[in-house]
Amino acid sequence: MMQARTRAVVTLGIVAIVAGIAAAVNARDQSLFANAGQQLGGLFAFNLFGGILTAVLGVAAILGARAGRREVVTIAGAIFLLGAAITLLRTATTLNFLGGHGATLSFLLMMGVGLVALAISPEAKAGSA
Amino acid sequence: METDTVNRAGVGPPMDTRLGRSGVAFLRIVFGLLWLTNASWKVPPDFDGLRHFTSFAVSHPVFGPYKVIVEHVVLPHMTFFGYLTLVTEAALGAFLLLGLVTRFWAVVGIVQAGAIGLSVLNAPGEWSWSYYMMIAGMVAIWATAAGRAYGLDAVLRPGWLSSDSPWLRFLGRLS
Repeated sequence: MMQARTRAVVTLGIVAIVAGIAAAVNARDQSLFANAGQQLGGLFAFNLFGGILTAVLGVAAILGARAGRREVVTIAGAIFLLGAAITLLRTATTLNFLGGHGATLSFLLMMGVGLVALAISPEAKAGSA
Repeated sequence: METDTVNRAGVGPPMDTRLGRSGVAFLRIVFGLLWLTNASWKVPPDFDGLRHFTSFAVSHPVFGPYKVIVEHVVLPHMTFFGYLTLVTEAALGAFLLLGLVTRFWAVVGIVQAGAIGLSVLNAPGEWSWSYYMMIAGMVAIWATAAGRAYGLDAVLRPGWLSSDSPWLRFLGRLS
């Protein structure tokens, strides 16, 4: 991966790790798969599992980018997108196993789309600006 | 001159100073957070809160034809329009925070802020300037192509514009 992309993936990965750890600490008194996660400030909500998963995927994305393994970054992004889809379909049900709501959907979408776009978009051709 | 040439080629940042780019990125991120946080109270499947605010378009109409559409199309199919609103606003938050395909999403934001304004502008207790400012902010993001300042558009756009795929070149133009 080119340096700018690696930097961008690392930035997204750090955001995921910080947000995930903060969310997991915030939800530490809940059950692992609590249906309604703890609200983190005025932002999104996660349950303990959602927080841990977010942080782990952030680590995976960073390691994948540093190793030049686009497929690892793509898989991490795809799992975020799967989490977004589950949050969209399962919010307000008893199967909301990341504990999220609409803002969580937005956050997961950001991580998923960002990582996948960085992993699969073509490089600029040599000679082009 | 050099920056100007780069900008005319459509690949450089819209601002030629770090301060300018930082300001544009700050604006984009603040508006991204605005959309992200406001996606939290659109709760499926009933969307009660959203239905409440949408119904102001009928009880305190701003624009006659819009009232008719909301009354006869939107409110009777609130689940569909609720999901549409939730996905649109969640995506606005996601793409503006990333600075990805930013100009397209800024236009979506202008339309969405306009729709919100048309619903609640005359509702009791609403401060109408908040909706004008939302629209103005989205116009500023569109006009400055804010994703090219510390956003993913800055990283990915050169590859899209030089791609053989017309779809990717189109994506480049939307960014």
